[in-house]
Formats: sequence, structure tokens, C-alpha cells
Amino acid sequence: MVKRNFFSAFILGCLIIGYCSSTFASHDTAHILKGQFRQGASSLTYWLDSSVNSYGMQSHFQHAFTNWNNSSSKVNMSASTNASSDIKVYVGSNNLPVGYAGLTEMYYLNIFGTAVLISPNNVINGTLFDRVTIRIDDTQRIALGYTGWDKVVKLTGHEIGHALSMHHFENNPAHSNQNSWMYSGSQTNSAYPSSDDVSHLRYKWGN
Amino acid sequence: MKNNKRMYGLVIILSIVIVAYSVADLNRVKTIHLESGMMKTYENYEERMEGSDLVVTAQLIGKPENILTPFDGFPDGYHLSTIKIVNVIKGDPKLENTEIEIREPYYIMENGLEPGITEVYYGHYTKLQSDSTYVLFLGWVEAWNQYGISSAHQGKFNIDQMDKAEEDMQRKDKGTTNLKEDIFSKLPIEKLN
Repeated sequence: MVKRNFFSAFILGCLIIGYCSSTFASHDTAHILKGQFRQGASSLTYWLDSSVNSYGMQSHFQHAFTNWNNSSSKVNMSASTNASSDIKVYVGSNNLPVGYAGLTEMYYLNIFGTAVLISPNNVINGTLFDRVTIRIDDTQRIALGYTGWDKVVKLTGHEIGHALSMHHFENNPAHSNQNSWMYSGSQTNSAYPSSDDVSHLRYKWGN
Repeated sequence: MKNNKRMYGLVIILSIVIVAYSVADLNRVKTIHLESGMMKTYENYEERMEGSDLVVTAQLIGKPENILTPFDGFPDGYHLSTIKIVNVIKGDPKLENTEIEIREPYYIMENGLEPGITEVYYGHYTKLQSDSTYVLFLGWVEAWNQYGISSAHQGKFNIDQMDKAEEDMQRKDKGTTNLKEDIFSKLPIEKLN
């Protein structure tokens, strides 16, 4: 009886330690940036440049914003017509270097109100930011295989994820699920954030 | 008399500030690597060749030109660089021993009222160095009517180990290091000389 209880407790202990280890390893700074929007994520605004509609990506971005919002009660990004919004989205053609379908950049506002570009390394280590721009290169999006609703949504969801302080899931220790929005480089059909995407978002911002 | 002393003191302090700012402005270089994006990455030589329009060994010629292309008040740009093609590994062999202009994915901007400049690189890219030879994987962009380095740090590999900046950056990126090893193990030796 004593032996059985000890054995059960031992197994339970191993399972708990294993769970804690994997949780710790998967939510480290390789995948979540310490830096974030200075004001938090509960009342962010986003602005879609007219180019987003011209290139037919309005619904994709709206879908991605909505699904990130639905993943945590502490995250809320709402559409704004104000060009001074926290997140600004642009789509162009051959506006990024060869090989880039999308890019997210973070800025702080200096004392003159000018947006100053921040190094992602600084954001990894905790630097706060005030503005984010998201740019999509439509020509390269197509050339790199981000075509069809699901794959375009993955691209838009990925870039918005960076604005919410998510980093690449293929960074060591890598996650295996390439369908995750934050797993870059894979053109998988991912119309919704994965369980890894959601768990990382909640780890960062709360449930 | 007292006012004159105060005036001289103020002038001296102001002069020190101006000199200090000028020195800082000349010497301060901030570096930013833009890593938050969706960049096509390659696992091996075959994929890297497949994803390129032109693959060459080449050297940088002259001084690259910094071209700024801001969008909606936000900074952006590239460098226009002239390379001399030594060997063509994929593409038109007639390009050997010719010079072409390519786009490198980095730009340099002034810091406004803050002293110094900022060098902004896409990904883990490091700029081409003179007197070094490289394998370059290039993509053709019709709209630019020119080639650009394809996938930043995965489109440029130093052959002669003279580019220490590239070596340091690649040491931090296991995927690119593995890719480089695979490329160099499979490229025809005669093309690397």
C-alpha cells in the first residue's frame, strides 16, 4: 500500500515537473518579447491605409485582428479612421527587399512626437514602444506562396502577432506546429491562431 | 563685471556642449536589425538555388549609394551597390566579368536632433565589404529593373573569410550557418576560385 502510494506520487511528481519544464521552455523570450506597447494591449487602435483595400486585404486583416482579440480578454484592438493610431497597416508592391512578404516595425515617440525606429533586440529585452507599422509586399506575397484566404490570413495574423510582442516560434526551442501564425516561413492554411499562438498571447497579456 | 563673468561662463559651457555634440554626431552609430517579419528562409543548397534568379560569385566595386525611400513619414531605404561578377553559377554566363547594380537590404539614416546615424539592416544582413568575395543569391524585380539580394542574410555568403561582421552575425544564426555549410559543400569548387 505504502509502495503503491509512493509510486503514484512519484509518477505525479514527474508529470508536474515535465509540464512545468515544457511550459517554461515554450514561453521564453525566444517566442515572447519582453517589450510591448507602452499602454498595454487592452485598448489599442489600428488604422488600415487605403492601400490595404486596394490590394484586397481588408477582410484578411480584420479577420486576424478579431481573432487575436478573441484569444485574450486583455487584448483589444479596434479599427480607427485616425491616422495617429497605434498600429498602422500598409500594402504595396515591391516595397520590401526580395524574399520578404511582410514586415513589422516598432517605434517610440520622442519628445517632439516623432516616431523613432527601435531595434527588435531592444524590444526583446524590454523596450516599450508607442507605434507599430505593418507592411505587406503584395508581389512577393504571391511569389512566396501566400495565396488563398487561409494563407493570406496567416501572413496578416503573423505580423499583427509581432505588434502584440509575439516572436517567431521556429526560434530555438522551436515549436513543432507549423500551422501557428507565429511560425514564420511556412505557407500553411491557418485561418485561425493555433493553441500555441493563443497560449503565448495569454501568457504575455493574461486570459 | 559679475555679468561679464556669467556671460563668459555661459559661452564656455555652450562651446563645450557644441563640441561634445559634434564629436558624438561624428562617431555615434546605432545599428538596428529588422527581424519581425515574414522572410522566406531556406534549408539547403537545392532550395536556395531554386529560389534565386541569378547566383554568382562577385566582389563589391566602388562606394554603394544610400537611397532613402520613406513611407508616410516612416524611414525605409536600401543601398545601390555595383558588383563585379567573377563566376555565374546560375543564370546567363555572359554576365561573367561584367559589372551590375544590385540592391542591398540596408540603409543609413540621420538621427534628427539626436547625434549620430543609424544603420538599419533587414534581418541579420551585413553589408558587402570591398576586397571580399562572395556567393550572392539574387532575385530579379521587374519593377526595379534590377536584382536584389534575396532573403537578406541568406542571400550573401563570404568566400574568403575576410568579412568578420558576416561571420559574427552568422555565428548567432544556426539555420543560416547550416545553410552556408550545405551550400559550400555542394557548390562546384572551380566556381569558388
